[in-house]
Amino acid sequence: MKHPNIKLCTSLFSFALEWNSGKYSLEQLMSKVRELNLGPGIEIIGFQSLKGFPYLSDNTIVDVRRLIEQFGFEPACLDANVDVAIRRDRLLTIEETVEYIIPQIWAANKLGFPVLRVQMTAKPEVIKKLVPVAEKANVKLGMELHTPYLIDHPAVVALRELYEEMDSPFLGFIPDFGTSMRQIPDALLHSFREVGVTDELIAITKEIWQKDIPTPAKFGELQERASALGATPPQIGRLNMAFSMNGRQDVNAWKEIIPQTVHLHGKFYGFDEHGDEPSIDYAAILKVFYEGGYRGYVSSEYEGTAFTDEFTGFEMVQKHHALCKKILENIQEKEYARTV
Amino acid sequence: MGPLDNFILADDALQATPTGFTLQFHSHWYRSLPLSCMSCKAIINGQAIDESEVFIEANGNKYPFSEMPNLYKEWLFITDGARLHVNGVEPLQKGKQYNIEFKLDLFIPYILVGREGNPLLASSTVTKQLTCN
Repeated sequence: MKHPNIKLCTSLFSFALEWNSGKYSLEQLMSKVRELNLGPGIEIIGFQSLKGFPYLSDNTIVDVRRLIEQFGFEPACLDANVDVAIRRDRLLTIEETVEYIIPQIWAANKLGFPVLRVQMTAKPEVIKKLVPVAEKANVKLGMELHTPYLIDHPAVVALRELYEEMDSPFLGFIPDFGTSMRQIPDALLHSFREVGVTDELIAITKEIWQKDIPTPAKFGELQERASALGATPPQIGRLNMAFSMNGRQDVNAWKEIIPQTVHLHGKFYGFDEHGDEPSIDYAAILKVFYEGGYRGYVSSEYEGTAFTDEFTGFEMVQKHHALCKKILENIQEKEYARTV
Repeated sequence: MGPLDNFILADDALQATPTGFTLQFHSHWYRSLPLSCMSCKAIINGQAIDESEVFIEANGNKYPFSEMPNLYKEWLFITDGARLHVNGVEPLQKGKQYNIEFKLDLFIPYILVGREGNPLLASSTVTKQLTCN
């Protein structure tokens, strides 16, 4: 018998263009995702899709639960935001941050989501105080590891130490594939051209990005070489995005935290003519998680809308599902062939 | 900044009032933010607006423009618009076209950058010919 596989999921983050256009209600958006068969998992960002989040009325809770059930989705992950800079005069204190997240944990509980995405702006002291709430609400806290938070980043190391100390099944990680990229997405590079960046500058940026040096050293080298070619400060600012948005962590580095992985963010930007994602090695990453024993969801998270409106979120998530499905079936077939 | 900028000013964003005009805008982030995380600047036909005569409205609540940095409890849902009420100017003419340059700065409260750990600034400027309603 074949083993269970990693499951597909769609994050409504992928439809930023469609959602911000105001042309879709939540029901219409979810209906379209169902029609295109982009489940079974569904991921919702509270502050994107739910007005009044995290203080939801009973009616809203009933409505959202009804939609999830009606369209046959499995609630995979609700995304919290840890908005520590919501005040302009100062950052939220540890206590205030805890109080900011608690209602978001309960929103996940009431909506039926087993996992709540949290962000690195929640320091270990905050997470420690949230564990009893997460346990009571039966909601796992999944810390998103988004670039620049590689698994050996000092802040991540501190969190891993806390996880070890607490040893709670309610603490986990959500690796974001944008942390392990093989090249800068073309869509991002094309957007640089719109602000007058030359092909020569783009080539230099790509070359520096590939180097095994710390990110600050990359900023420095780019500053020096791009200035010498006459790049303006705003252009250099845009090029710096290539270093800050796209991580180069070895895919094998994830192995250490697979037992604590509670969800996956399948970030993607675009596809080549074969349906492959040129900037992220999906075959390699999914193999690492599958072989490491992960059997949760990989959630399609299309972020190309940050640079281009050439494609709809729907067509891009369809392509992403097709790619992941092909890779996962291939991995499973090979394993099955080995065991029979 | 990106394609979401296209939603900042809708075609019907500009409206005449007896004391001036209103300008409705939408955020260009993918999720809701409170007004404290926003700042904006409008120029109409090359003329900057005197901010002391401006009020900001969201969810039916109206505040002096200078209060915006303190409004961390007034959320602007991502598909809702906020409205600037501009007074003390010659009222606009309905049906006439005006050139609007609008700069919207968003201070992203969960992404801290630089040595100081300041919120990421996501700034967009859109310029549009709008017919006054």
